[in-house]
Amino acid sequence: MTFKPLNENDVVNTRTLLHEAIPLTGSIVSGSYVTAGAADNLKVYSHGMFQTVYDYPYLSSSANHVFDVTCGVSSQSGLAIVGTGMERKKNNIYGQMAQLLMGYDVTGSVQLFDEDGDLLAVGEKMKEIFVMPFSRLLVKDEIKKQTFSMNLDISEFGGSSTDPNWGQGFAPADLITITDLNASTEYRVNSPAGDYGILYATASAPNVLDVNETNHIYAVDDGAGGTNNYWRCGLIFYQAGIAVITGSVFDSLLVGNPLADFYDGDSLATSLTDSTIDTLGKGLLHRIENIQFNNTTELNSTVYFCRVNHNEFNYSSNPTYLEDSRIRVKTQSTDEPVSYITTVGLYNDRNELLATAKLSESLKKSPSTEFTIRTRLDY
Amino acid sequence: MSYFELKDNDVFVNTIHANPDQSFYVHDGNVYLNNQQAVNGTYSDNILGVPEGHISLFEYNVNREASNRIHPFIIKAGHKQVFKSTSKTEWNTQFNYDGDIITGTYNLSASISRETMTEPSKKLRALRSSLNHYGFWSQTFKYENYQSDVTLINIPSIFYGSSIKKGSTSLKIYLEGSMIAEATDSSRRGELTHDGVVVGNILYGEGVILLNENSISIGQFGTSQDIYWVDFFKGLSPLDVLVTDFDQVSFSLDFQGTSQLQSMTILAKAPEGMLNHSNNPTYLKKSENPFVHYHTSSYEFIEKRRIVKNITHSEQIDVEPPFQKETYISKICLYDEHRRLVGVCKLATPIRKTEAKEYLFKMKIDL
Repeated sequence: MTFKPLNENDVVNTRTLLHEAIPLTGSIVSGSYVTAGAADNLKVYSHGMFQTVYDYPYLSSSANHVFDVTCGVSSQSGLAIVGTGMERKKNNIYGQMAQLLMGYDVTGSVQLFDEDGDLLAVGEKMKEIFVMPFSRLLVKDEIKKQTFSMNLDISEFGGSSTDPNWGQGFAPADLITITDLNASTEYRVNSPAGDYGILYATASAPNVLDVNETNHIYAVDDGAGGTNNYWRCGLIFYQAGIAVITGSVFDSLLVGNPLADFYDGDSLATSLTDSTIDTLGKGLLHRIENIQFNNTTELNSTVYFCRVNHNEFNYSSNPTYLEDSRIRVKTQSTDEPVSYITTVGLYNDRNELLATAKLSESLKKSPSTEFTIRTRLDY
Repeated sequence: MSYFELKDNDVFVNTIHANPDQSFYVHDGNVYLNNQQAVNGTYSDNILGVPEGHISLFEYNVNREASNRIHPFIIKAGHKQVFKSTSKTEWNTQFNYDGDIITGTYNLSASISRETMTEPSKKLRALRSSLNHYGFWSQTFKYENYQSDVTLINIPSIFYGSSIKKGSTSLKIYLEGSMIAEATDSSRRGELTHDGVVVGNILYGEGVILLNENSISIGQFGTSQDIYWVDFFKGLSPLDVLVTDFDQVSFSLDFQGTSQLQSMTILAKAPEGMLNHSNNPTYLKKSENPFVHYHTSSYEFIEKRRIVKNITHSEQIDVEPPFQKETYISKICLYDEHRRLVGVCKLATPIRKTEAKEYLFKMKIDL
């Protein structure tokens, strides 16, 4: 066994990005697991501040947490919320999320969710929001930028809240698609929770989203002399794994009147003032046709290039190297010494063994050969 | 905020040795893991999307159709990172230059496997060094003992961790539901013995069981057909031919794995007479005129004196208690030698620290 120091040219750190594609169809979110009109994969809590969506009935040990859903209303919203404790809860949810994701301004006040992320300009603020924090199991290190997509039904409810399968027959004309358009370059960094992107809504059918809402529209050249309109409708926080959707997608962004029946006969404004957070969450969940995003996991590695020169490592101190006090691999004194490299040990500066790398098969080493053994340590 | 240096006795690492039980039951070619039956799903016989008796890595894609599953991918780049299932030829020929997406698949699964051989197979030859190495425990390990009529049972390491716990292995054979034979490694040196006869060996670190006892019948099924230890787990391999009435026989394998979980414990002391001052703005009383905190001119800059707020606890509400320096410790930050923040430990409720009190905070982090 011989020691050879590694110098700075022998060590390099690398980073590999591993991604996963995460498809979440509406059938996973709602409608598939129903017993007596209640969704078995939707966990509701007595505190009533959020609900948890699982990909299988949550009483099963196989179920995975997919995301939570909640609703927040800013105290600056102007909506007169009624109901036992709901005003405070909706305000607190908004305050907590805004504090976490948007931070504070110079006066120490919590900043409101800003539609375009430009906090200094007097832009549109989102004061009524749906929040979807995705599970860390799915987000991993972060959501990959420009991969988030969500199809949302914006048609009138027209059903019964006891019908858990409502919303599964999505017609294309009723759908809007929410994406983080151009986010790989157009993301924002002024959040304490990391990078975030702007969510834009489009509709496959015309006259769904209101072109007169110019304050909310981002027009992109379509390459044919025209423009494609995208309506700003939320924010996606990549490292935090949280999507924030404005309530306006069911209200002011729509052509004509706001939805008269967001859920169970109530408009969104009425639901926000009169209904519980759980009811609002159900109204959103049944409207989800599809959610899709890619996640990212950073895999860090250090590569040690162990260079074996021609005049090194040609002998062994292994007892089996000798036979009758003679080198076993040499029959004549003029024969080349030969050794077989089986293992590379990595030591620290105090000669303490930290790691070993085993070769799948031994390398024959003689003065006429040289090797560079590439040893990779993943962590 | 004050800094304290952690001494050698303030940081220590504990290792928890865990020995989780594992159980495989094989009957008529079907495997049952930990006595659990697969739950039927909409798209397959098992909601986990893996064959019954298999463990699902990550347990993603519960009850999902194949076209709608979570799957991994990487982007082809110069480091030549690739999934293990992608061959070098595929990497070279089926993808374009940098930027192409190489996809993998979930669900990944693992389970026990069985191989029988009349002469040493490639797998057994690869174990030659290990077998001879364990010869110092028992001569029964010698490679020469496994030249013909050998049954090799391979246990993937996901089931046992770093090694199978010595003395925990039990192989049982059942005939029509009644146990007729049991082989254990009660000697803890890798010998599997039944009624004092060594029927095979277990390699704890490699997760391999070798059985070679084919001379002593341990029971009969059907029309007087003998069962031997080399028949253990018969039916598991697709190459196994099951004769009539073999469904009267079933097998079980029980063992314990070994996993080591490290956790670091850090002791942080808040000594008496220290940590009684805060730089938090709320530590001071608000000034008389909150908009004028300083006085400045061409020659001087003078900050106004501010008074520390008296938050000393008192039983009386009408009499202000004598002032004492008090703080509330709400979090402990851990820094490296370059004073870079590497961890934050928050207390569930802030702790009142007076000059007379001292505290020892115990922080744990799983490594």
